Amino acid sequence: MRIEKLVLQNYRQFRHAELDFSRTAGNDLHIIRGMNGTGKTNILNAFNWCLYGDEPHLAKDSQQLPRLNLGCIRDSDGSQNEEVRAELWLKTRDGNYLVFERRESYRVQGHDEHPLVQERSFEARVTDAKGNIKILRDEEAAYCAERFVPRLMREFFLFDGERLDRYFKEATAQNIRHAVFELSQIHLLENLEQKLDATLKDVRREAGKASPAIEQSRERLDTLENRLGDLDTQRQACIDQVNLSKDKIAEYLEMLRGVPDVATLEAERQGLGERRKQKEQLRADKAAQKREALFQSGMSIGVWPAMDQILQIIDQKREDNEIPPTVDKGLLDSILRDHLCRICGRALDEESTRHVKQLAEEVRLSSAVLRELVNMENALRLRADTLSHFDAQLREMTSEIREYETELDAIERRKNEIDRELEGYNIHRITEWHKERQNFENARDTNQRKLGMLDAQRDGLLVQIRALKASLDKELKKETKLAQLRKEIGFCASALEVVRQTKHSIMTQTRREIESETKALFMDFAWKKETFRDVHIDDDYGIHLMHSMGYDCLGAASAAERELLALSFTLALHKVSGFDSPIVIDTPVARVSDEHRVNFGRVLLEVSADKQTVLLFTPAEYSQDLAGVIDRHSSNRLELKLSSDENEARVEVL
Amino acid sequence: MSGVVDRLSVDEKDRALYDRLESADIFEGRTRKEQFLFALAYAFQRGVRRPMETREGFFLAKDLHTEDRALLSAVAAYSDDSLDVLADKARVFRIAEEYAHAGIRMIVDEIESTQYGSFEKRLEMDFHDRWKQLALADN
Amino acid sequence: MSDTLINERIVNGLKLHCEGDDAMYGFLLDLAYREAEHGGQWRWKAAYRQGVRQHSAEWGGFDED
Repeated sequence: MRIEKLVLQNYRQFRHAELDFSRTAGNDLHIIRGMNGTGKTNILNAFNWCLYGDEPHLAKDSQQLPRLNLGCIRDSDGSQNEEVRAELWLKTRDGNYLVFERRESYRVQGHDEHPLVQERSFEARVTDAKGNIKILRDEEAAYCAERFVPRLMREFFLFDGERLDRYFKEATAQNIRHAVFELSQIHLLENLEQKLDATLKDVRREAGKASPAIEQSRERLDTLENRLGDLDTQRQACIDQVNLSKDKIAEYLEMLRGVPDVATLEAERQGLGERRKQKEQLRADKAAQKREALFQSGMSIGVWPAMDQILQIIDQKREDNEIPPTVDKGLLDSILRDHLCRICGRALDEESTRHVKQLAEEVRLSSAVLRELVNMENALRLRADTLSHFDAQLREMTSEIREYETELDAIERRKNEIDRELEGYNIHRITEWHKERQNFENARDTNQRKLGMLDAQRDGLLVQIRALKASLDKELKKETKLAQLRKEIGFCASALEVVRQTKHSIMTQTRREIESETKALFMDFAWKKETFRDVHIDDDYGIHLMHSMGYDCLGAASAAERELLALSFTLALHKVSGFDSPIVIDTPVARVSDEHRVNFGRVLLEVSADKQTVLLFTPAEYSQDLAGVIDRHSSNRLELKLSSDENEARVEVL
Repeated sequence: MSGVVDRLSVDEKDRALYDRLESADIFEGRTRKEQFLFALAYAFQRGVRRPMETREGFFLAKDLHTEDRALLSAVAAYSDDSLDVLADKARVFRIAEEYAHAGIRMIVDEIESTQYGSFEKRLEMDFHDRWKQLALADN
Repeated sequence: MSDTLINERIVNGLKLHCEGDDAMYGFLLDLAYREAEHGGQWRWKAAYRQGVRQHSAEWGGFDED
């Protein structure tokens, strides 16, 4: 089925607009170009509003505005209702038309007040091969819309290009599981499952009324089955968290690829700073020590001849027993002067006088001088002793200082190396990244452990449930009047099991088909074909893009390649879903870098060979290079232009 | 010469020279006494001694330790070539003052004529050479 | 556009897992179509109960003793 035209009346910027999407060229490609504010995104909203009654892509500033065109409000005199209308013309493969029309009528109260909705209607007009028109309204029309593109799947058919950019950045496994879920109509099986389960419980309750033993088992079984349900919910949440954590870890690892281990280097730098302070202090202390030695020994060296002379004199005096002094020369001089012995008090005779003179002669130096010599001796000997080790001491200290300086040089070199490594990096941000990555690793590990525990609990519960079911069945067998109920219980339980198995196998089958289709499309579209080897969706719905070298390179792929993968995935969903509906993308390449836009444009061109593709571009996006590739193959090129009062947009054919 | 002398003096003009010693690291934090003794030793090593023109007190004699006195006395005895000077404190001090007066001028000239930081290096080399000359190892 | 109300996979999947049990298959297919038609919101309790009662009577996949 394809879109033939979209007619808008008083819908937002569009007072009267008719957009033609008929196929006129080789490719079923339709370009709409418009600056921001001209209503480009509201074209996407118009599709949604017409089919489903809502506008999921409404810009923040448009949310306050009425749906009714402002020019219409301005021109209205309030005497009659004004109508908003969107009409979507579709053509089936066998040439029949299906037209959806949604209307909303408003009463305009005043130009500054919001108009009030009066009536709403939605209808689908189906034209068959004979030309007969059947009109379906409201619910029946909605059911028709569901068969064109189901509401739950519309995000894969009518979407903003930003979705392609974000698809593999956030909660990838969840996104994929959700897509598979929607595509497989699993909700239908889940409804079956829920209701069968409720029915089974009812039948058991009925049986329980017949016997207390049965009722007791039934109640217990109910409790356990409810607990199992809760556990499964918890398990799924855990799995989702693990997958989210894995995605985030991969994202951070990619951001940190090639970035130095900042935390370790910072710690090392700090350590180096502390060591440097230490060594500098030790060097300063040793230098001060050396300086002191130099100062003191220097003085001794300077006066050495004097010191040496005195020490030699002292040695001689010791040898001569003059030191310490035994005779007081002063005393002898006074005895000779006074001719009187100071010891015995007798006057000196000639002989005594001669003896004293001789003694005085022998004692040449006064005791004061001798005392001074004695006082000097120790100090001078200490200096002399210190001096004998001067050279060795100085060499040792010099060597130690040199060692410190060598170490300080090494510290400085290493510090500079670290500075060079960290230059240009925002250390705070990188440290935060490391922290975040660590947090997610912790979350992953915690949730994996929790999952393990939940699995163990689940296994235990299943055993109990099995036993209880057997016990319940046994009780039922005893009551012959409950034979029919027992059969119903068995039947219902088996039906439930069939539904569960079907659900599981469909999810698996669908996942595999999507995987296979995504891979085929991506490999076909990719402009660096030799780089990638495989696309794989694992049991937990994680998607892996395998490099030809054998590793998962989704994190390392460029934004354009990731968007290409998201587009391939989306188109795979189309194919696998069986809904052969057009694809409408708003700003498809805004987030793709210039160098890849033309490549991406070629891909979209290829898509439009088999599938109606409507693309909404801003002029900035739709570069000359891109236009060069796309223009000549497109069936329609339209431009949106805003009136001078900005209340109306008109559509021009290019 | 005799008499009680309670301080050692420097020439008036030398005070400013002693202040300039701080520019060499080896003199950082040194007391006046230490500066004086070093200047004395420096001049004695070079055999230079000059009488002072003026006198003003520089530090108190009671600040001298036994080893300082021993040094001063040895220098005085050597210079006078007589041990008798050891009993004459005033003379010992006067001789020391004259050596210090000569020494301080030489040191400041040396410091200020060499590159910053190299005075200490030259001292070290000078002391090492002198030490070897005097064959002072295990004296 | 999808010409069938129910994804073919569901139809095939139910058939496969019923393993030849026609009573079961008929019962589940019937319910699946009703779910698809009504989109989840309808008076289902009586329909499910009635279906169980009716189809279990013909059901052979059960240990009677």
